[in-house]
Order: sequence, then structure tokens, then C-alpha cells
Amino acid sequence: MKSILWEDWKTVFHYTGVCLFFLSFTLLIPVVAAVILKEFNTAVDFSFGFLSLFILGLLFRLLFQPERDASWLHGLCVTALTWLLATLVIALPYYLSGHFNSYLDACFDAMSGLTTTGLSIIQQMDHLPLSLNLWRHILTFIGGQGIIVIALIFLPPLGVGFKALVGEGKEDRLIPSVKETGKAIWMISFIYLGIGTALFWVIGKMAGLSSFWSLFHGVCMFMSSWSTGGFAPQSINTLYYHFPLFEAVCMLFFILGSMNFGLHFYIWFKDKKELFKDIEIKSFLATLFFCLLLLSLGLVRSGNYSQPAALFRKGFFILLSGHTSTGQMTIYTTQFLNQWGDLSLLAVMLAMVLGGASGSTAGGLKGIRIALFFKSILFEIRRFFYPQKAVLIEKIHHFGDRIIEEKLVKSALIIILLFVLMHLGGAIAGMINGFGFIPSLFESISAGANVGLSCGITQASMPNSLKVVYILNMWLGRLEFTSIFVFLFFVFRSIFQLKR
Amino acid sequence: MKHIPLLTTAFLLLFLTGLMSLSPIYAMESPESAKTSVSIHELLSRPEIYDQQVIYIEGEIVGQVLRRKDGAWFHLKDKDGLMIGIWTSHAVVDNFSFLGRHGIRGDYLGITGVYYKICPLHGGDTDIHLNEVVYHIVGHPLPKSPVSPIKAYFLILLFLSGLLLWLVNYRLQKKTNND
Amino acid sequence: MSRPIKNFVFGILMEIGFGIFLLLAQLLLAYVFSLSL
Repeated sequence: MKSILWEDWKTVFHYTGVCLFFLSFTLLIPVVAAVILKEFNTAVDFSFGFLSLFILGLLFRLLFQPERDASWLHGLCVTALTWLLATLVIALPYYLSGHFNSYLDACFDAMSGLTTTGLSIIQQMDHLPLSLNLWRHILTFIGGQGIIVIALIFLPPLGVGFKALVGEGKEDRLIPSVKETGKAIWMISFIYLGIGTALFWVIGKMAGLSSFWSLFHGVCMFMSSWSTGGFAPQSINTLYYHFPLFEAVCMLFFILGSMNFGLHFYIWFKDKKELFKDIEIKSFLATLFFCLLLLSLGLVRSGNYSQPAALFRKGFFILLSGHTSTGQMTIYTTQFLNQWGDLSLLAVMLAMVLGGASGSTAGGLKGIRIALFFKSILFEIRRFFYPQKAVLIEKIHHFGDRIIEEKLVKSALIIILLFVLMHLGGAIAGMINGFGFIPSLFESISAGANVGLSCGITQASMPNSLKVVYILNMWLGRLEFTSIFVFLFFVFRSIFQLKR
Repeated sequence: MKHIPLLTTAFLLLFLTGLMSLSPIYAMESPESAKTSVSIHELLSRPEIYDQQVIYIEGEIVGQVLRRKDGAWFHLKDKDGLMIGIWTSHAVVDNFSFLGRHGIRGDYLGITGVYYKICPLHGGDTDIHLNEVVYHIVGHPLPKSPVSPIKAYFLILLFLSGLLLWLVNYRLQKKTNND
Repeated sequence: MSRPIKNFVFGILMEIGFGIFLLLAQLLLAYVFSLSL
């Protein structure tokens, strides 16, 4: 096995520094917004954040010059370390704002934003400075695209770029060049930002908001919906608007945001029919229908939301929000346990676990893995109907026909198992802290699948140990384990080598 | 004849009592609910008691007023920090002076209204339909706190460090390019 | 309008159309489920 040398660490630190350096400039957005809105305390807080990340990035770049070519190992470690350090530093302006009880709470919110989870333990949300509120939504927008993508646009064309992209789960190269792939992802997002903001602005005015507030809420809610983040400018989330059309537009962007970026690119520039042929779309439609049926059975028979309008606005909205791992809510958190019943909760939990498409802003198991799982079951059954010596192949359509190879299935099953173990681990942590099984499992799935729906456990008063567990779950879920495990093993091997 | 003034007075008193009994305050609520404010958490936790009942709630107005054709929404935040939507008429919201947000303490209201766990009129929303504003304390802008001097000093220090580091990096890169 | 831009605009419209279709389908399902379940 390869030994970990100081040269490897220098390579990792150097490229982490590059990513952090470029990420730091995004923190200028809230600084400028705060100055324009005359929220000078917030401007100072975010200036701290910008300068801290800027200095950290520069220091890493200067002090650690890479002495060997970046490999897969380095790329994955850069991803894991960048996410971790970015969270720790982005938490600084949050903590300085006074809206968090502790630095850990601030880290929780930062990780939740970066991973597009949407769980929040912020205090006095309805009295937040506008620039801070806006930044929380921008962070989900950045996190959804992948902070690695930001660096990719500026990095020289080194192999580390693609390897870092893979570490974030965005391995579908839209275009041969990694840099162009990064730019394409941002282009798609910015075009929809324009369309979405305009649409929300118009509908916000119809809902009764003034022009300014309609624009503010529009930008925030678009970013929350498209990035499948789940934050909202007010504490009661999407229930605030009391306007079905507003909720419908949110749902539209849940669906679009949870589609593979590669699929968007394909439909726009290559083959429109891919929308109907892609296995992830088919998988999503099948699982969505199944979960909607389960949910409806639970809600209608319990007598809650038995009217079509209520079933759609509350039940279907929440289920779609969970399935696309968005996390926006049109009910109160406590209503899940008081009014929904076990079958409906199970439907939502199943939807959260399954998640959206790969290479999108969504979390969860991902459509491609679910499709591979079921296809491989069918394949195993089919084998019995053919002679033993027959060579069978199974295909899926995902940007072209692909033969399902054993190693692909094996890799998908490993990740599925890891997700299940993580969800159970989080549930155990919840139960150790005194919460019931269903709420603990619900909250754990929500954190690990980067959803953001809450049944009431996530609050500032929850035990610190549980906050740490959920932060880890969010981080592991967003990066899909590989880069973090590789990084931890990287650290472990370095220590082990030193001890020898 | 001499009983007419007495009878008239008695009749008038009865008439006035009758008029008062027609007023929404006495027709819609029991005196008990007007005295103790219920929290939003309580409403959500025990819907079987409060659903479609008249309740009394107090809180600060936060967020914006959402005016619709047939009414308006506003939101009250209670002392526990939970928020709920209140449906009312334009006439009520026209009286609001301050809407709570950053830098503004919103008007504080005590209201009676009908609580709906799943409102049939508003597509299943959990809301309160306002009956009456029992009392109204006007809000006020909050004083802006100045930037802390310690923060300012550290920021300047950080800025200078960043600038120095960037200059060092710039010169090193220039040197590397020349080589 | 040049061909690539036309393709790209149609692509966006198609995606939004797909999203709206999915929403309408869910609305229909809500009616069907609330009546039949």
C-alpha cells in the first residue's frame, strides 16, 4: 500500500488552499449587501469571514507547495478537507451575528447550508438582518453547485479538478473539459436563477408582498428550491405565504433542481428525448408515485388532509420536498408526530431516503442507484430462465445505453448500505439522547440525506452530541462517504506511519 | 303614570343589555378564554381541544402584511418564538404601525380568533381567523448598536495581514513566472 | 433566432413543461386519492 508522505499532505493542503481562496470571494456578496442595506454590524461580521477564509486559503497555498502530481487520493482528500474547513470558517460571521447560542450551533447552520440540508437552529430568524438571511440562501446555492466547481473554474487544468468533482458526487462530465463542465453547471444555475426569480417576484406580488419584499423572498425561495436547500426567509418556512401558486412554483423548482445537471445540458444542447429516456427520471417517477400512494393512504384514512387541496398543499408538497431532498415545509414540525400517523411518516421517510438524481443538488441514495438495485434483482431472477452457460447483459439508459457491470452494482450497493448504516447510527444517537425511535430515525434520515424536514428534534436546545452527529451525517451524506473515508484513512495512515 | 319612567328605564336597560349581547365579543367567546393567552405550541400539541375553538393569543407582529382581495394575512410571534398566520380584514391591518423585522420591534397584539388545525377555507393551512383585537401596543424602531471597537481593531489587523499575505503571494508568483 | 439558441430555449421550455405536467399529475392524483381512499 502507498505510504503517505509529507509531500502528499503538501499537495492536499495546497489545493485545499486554492479552493478556500476562491470560495472566500463569495463572502463579499453579503458584505456588499449589508453595506447597501446599512446593516454595518453584519458587514463587519462577514468581512471577518471573508478575510479569515482568504488568509487561510492564501496561507495554505504559500506554505505548502505541491511536490508531486495530484492523484485520486489527493483530489478526494481536498474535497473532504475543503468542506470541513469552509464550514468552520463560514460559521464565524454567523457566530458574530449573535443569532446563535454557540459556535457549534453556527457550524451546524453553516454545514446545513453548504450541504443544502436546510435544518436550522438559528435564533430570532424573523429578526435576522436581511443580508445575513440572504447569505444563508446564497450558501445553499453555492453548496448545491459544489464549492469545488467554483475552484475548478479558476484552477489550471490539473487532474485534481476532476478527482475533486468525483469526490463531490458530480462525476458526469458534461463536456470533456473539467473546467468547462464547472462553467456549464454554473451557467445552467444562473439561467434558472433569472427565470426563477422573475417568476417568484410576480407570484409574490400576487400573494400580497410589496415589490421589494417580493424580490427578496423571490431570490431566497428560488435559491432554496433550486438548490434543494430548504431554507426560507421566515421561521414558518413556506407556510408563511398562504398562497398555493407560490407553493406550486417552489415544487416546480424542486423537480428541476433535483435533476442531473448533465441531463439539463443534454436536453438543452444535445438530445431533448433524453428527458423521457433517462433511467433516473423513470426511477424518480416510479418511486414518487409509490410514496404518494402510501402517503395518501395514511393521511386520508386518518382524516387529516382528506380534502384534495389540503392533501396536495400539505401532503404532496412535503413528500416532494422530501423526495427531492429540499426540506421546505408547509406545516409545523410538531404536526408530523401529532397529526400525520405512522404510515404517512413512513412514506416521507422512504422518499427522503431515496432522494433525487445523481449529479444534481439533491441528496439521498440517488435514482441511478435505486435503478441499478432493482435492475440487478430482475437480472438475478431472469438468469434462472436461461441456460447456465448463456451470457446475459442488462442495460440502462443514462446519457446513452450502458451495460450494467458487476463492479457498478457492487459500488451502488456499498453506498446504499453505508447510507442505511448512517441513518441507523443517527437514529441510535437520537434514542440515546432520549428521543423516540420514529422521530430519531426521521431526523437522522433528514440530516444524512440532506433533506431538512424536521419533526421537532432539531432545535437550539437539542444536546450538543446530537448536533455533532447530525453535522457529521450532513457532511457524509453530501460527499457520499468516499472522499471522507479516504481522507480519514489518509490521516490514520500518516499517524500510523509516524508512530512506526 | 308614575310607573312609566321606571318602566322606561327598565326597558332601556334591557334594550342596552340586549344590544351588548349581540356584540361579537360576547356572542363568540367565553370570558375565560379572553383572560389566559394560549401559546402556539399548546395549540399545535393539543388540536383536539383547540381546533375550531375561539382562543386568545398574544404576540408581536412579524414579517410583512400579505394583502389579498378579500382580506389580509399577518403573523404573530408568541413569547416562545413560534409564529402563526392570522387571517383578517384590511381594516384591521391598516391600523398596524410597525411590522417586526431586523431593527424594528413590531406592534404587540392580544387577539381573539378561531383556531383551525386544518383550515377548510385556506386549503388546509394551520391558522387563526381573527375575531377582535383586544389590545394593541404600538411597536418601535430598535436603536442601532454601533460597531464594537474591538471588532473594528481586529478587522483592521486581519485586513492588513491579508494584504501583506497577498502581496507576498503576488511577488512570489511574479518571481516564479520570471524564472 | 439562431439554431443553437432555439434548441436551448426549447430545452428550457420543455423542462418547465415537464415540471408543470408533473405538478398537474399530482393534483389529479390528489383528487383521485382523496375520493377513492
